Amino acid sequence: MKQPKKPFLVILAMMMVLTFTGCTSGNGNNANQESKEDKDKVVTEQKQPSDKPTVVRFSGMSAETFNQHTSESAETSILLEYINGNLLDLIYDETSDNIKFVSNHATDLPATTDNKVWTFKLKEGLKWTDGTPITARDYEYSYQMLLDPKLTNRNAFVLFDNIPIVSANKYFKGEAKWEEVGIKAKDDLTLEIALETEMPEIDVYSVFAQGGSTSPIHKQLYEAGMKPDHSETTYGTTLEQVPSSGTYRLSEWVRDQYRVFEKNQDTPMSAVYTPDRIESRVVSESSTRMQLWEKGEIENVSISGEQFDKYGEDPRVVYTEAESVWGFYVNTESKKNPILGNNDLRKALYYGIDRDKITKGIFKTFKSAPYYISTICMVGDYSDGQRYRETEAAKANIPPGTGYEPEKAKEYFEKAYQANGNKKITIELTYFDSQETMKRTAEVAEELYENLFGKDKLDIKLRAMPPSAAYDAYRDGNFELGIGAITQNAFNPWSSMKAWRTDFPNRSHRFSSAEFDELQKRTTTGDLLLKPEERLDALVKMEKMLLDYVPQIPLFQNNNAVLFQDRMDLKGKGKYFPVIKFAPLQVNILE
Amino acid sequence: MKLETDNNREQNPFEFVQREKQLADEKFEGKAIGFFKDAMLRFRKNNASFVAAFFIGLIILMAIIAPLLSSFSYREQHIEWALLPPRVPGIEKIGIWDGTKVMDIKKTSLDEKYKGSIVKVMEEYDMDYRGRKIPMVKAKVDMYELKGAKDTYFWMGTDALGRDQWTRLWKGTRISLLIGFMAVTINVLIGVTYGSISGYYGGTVDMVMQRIIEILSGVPPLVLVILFVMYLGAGILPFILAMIVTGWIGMSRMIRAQFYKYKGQEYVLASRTMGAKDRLLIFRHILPNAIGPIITQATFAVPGAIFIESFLSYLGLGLGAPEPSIGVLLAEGQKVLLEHPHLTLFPAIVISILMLSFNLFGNGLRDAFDPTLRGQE
Repeated sequence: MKQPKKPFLVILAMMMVLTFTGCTSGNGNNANQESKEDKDKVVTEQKQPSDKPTVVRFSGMSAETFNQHTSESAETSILLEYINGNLLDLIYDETSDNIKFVSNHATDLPATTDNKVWTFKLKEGLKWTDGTPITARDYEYSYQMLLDPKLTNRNAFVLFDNIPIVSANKYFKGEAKWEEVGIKAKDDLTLEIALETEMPEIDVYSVFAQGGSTSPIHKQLYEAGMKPDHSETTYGTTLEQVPSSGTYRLSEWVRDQYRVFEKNQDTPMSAVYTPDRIESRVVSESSTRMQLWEKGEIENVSISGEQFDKYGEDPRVVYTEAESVWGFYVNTESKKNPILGNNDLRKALYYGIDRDKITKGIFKTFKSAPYYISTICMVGDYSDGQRYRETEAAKANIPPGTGYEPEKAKEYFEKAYQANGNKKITIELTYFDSQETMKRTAEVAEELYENLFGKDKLDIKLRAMPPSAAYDAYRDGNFELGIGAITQNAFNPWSSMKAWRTDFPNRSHRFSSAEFDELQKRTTTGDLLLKPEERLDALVKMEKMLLDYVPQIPLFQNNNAVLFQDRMDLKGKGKYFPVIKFAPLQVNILE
Repeated sequence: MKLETDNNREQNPFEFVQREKQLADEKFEGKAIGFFKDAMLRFRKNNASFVAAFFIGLIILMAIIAPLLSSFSYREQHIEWALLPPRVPGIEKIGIWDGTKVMDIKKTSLDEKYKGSIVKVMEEYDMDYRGRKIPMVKAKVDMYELKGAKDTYFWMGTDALGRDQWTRLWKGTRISLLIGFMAVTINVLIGVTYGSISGYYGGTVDMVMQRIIEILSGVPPLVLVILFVMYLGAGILPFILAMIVTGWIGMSRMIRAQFYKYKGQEYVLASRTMGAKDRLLIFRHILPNAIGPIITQATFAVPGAIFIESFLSYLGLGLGAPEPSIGVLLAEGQKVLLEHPHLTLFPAIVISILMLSFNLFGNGLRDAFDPTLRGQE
């Protein structure tokens, strides 16, 4: 009975060996050979721009909808730019090596005499992919739907927050009729936008540039998907309900897996955007994305901190500049932990964190940020590229270096400790559970704070939460310290400061100042709008107020390192621009 | 009469040998073997289980003493030493676990960033990028030298925050084992009590108690655990509590079956007739029969609990930072598996050995406690 065992084992071992050799010969050796061949090819051949139909392949997160009125994720806003045309567009301009606003559906940039009434002239013969014409009346209908009081679209704010269109907010709240709203199609080719106050052209341009919430909607499809009570529409939720008014049309869409876009020829921007086809697949794991990039299956990938040792030396690495500043929100009104209302404690936390340990230690490429306004934010004319952080006034606003001053921090902490009755201070720090780097940020902060102020005097407890639940907790005040960020408008930092206003909905912080609110309104819709110097001073003052109160302990700007495939010859040569980023659709594709 | 007897004697070849001797049973040679001793004897003969028991003991021992062997604590961070590969004194001389890594670097960086830390240049090549030829090298880099940790040894390398992976792994094993043992002990206590009452009394009591179990077991356990952890937050205690909610059901069913098997037997009836009370009958007379299956089932449940903990930690529902567990370490390591395999390798080895050993150990115990296998070996 024992005899058959040996042959069986031998067969089993042989099968295993065959399986492994099979794997190796299929992948490993070939891969090595290929990589060597590739390397030789790279050295000997000079790649040329392709004459064949070109395809670019990207990866990203899942898209919840293609309805530009309700979309919310950053990924969806990228995809919406492909399929939606708009009155204007923002592109990379080779001559000036800068970004440039150009007309798309409009014949030219809008005309105005008083910076209050802006008139767009539309091109003739504009059409949806299905042949339906696009006119100024479609634009008016689209904005009426965007502001509809029953639909309560989440992106409606662009027409009353970013630019104050006459009665737009009142109409949205159901307090005005459509006739009173400052959006009028004078004829099929003329659209007039009337504002409550004068606005700089950059603010107006940026609202109507690029496909997004101010793009036209397809009336028949929008109405067809509307619920009888007019509270919701299914527009943009299935492939059949996604029309195209832009340079690309959605040709395939498998939710949570991939989407494919084909180019519409003869559209106003078709000569500017080069790829004939865009394939975008859903990949949520950064390590998977890196593997796809390594295999040449996607065009670009962000390098995480752990991967930086390996890829940091690659000459193809380019760097982004983030539009947000991350930090720990402080619940200054916490009933459970009233010491957080103590300004000395918040200052101690502000000065007591060595931001470089987080930015250089964990993320490698991030920038330490002891401030609230990102380095990408511009003041003045966008074409001269004057950055707010580079102005002398802004530099004087923040402490030198990265804001880490341990001695000062200890002084502040001692005062706070005394105010707490010389009792140990315990603070709970909320971080996002799904992101390993956020967990590490929290762990490093815990260690740094406890080591600096003493474990006998300060105890930081960590609490993991999903990002959406964490933001809900911040809104409801069920937190003590919590990580988060506010995305900023690179062209209009004043507008981004509205997030710190007392009346801002769903606030994550507890900062409240009448003086700040007033100043912010004056810079965005008031008398300081068209006074550049005073407007800049006001911005400095607003940031100073935040730095004095410390409603959030600012930590870093998430500037990423990105790798592009060799075939992607970026026109900007790896230079990063606000909004258009590396202009990946204006790329020369080399084959 | 006498004659008759004499005649019989002649005819009968047998004779009474005990007539002059006192009649008594012979004494047993050797000592009587008790239940546990017998089980132990048979367990020892099962080599696989014996080796498994050794490994379990070793891992438990390491979980207790290994963190003390390192000069770093499990949460002590040295960010500048992040992601160092393993380096073990002695072994490093033969070229494995020597703290080096093969990297593609620019040739120009050799004398700048990597100065003094290049062990060997393995290959030189040019990378063509946008028409420019960039000289690159594939080199073996001493990561310890590069990151300024020259005379330091991290036996299992460091994690992304420069924490000692050796200390974190054994601390994590300690926490995983603690969760496993605690959850199983509490489950056994609840399961045995519940199953005993249900099985002993039978009838309506049993009917009601079994319906409660059915309702409880109808709830998907994973959902229950996730909700529990989400509601109570991450931590050791919520984790144990979450595993207890339905974890005792299997044990209670087994105990109930044992009670149905034994409660009608004569010795129980005899004891009851003598006036024994229910409690005495349950815990003194019937339950000890189930001791073998209880120990076996508990042994199998420990790796199950450790696995659930690892699985949930892997999904991000595990322990809160900075506490490590095997699952937490695996989840962290898997994300950088290709770049830093050491972060996955060691926790994977420990959990694999632990799982395999507990299962083999459990098998051995099951056979050892099985009375039907007695004397077969």
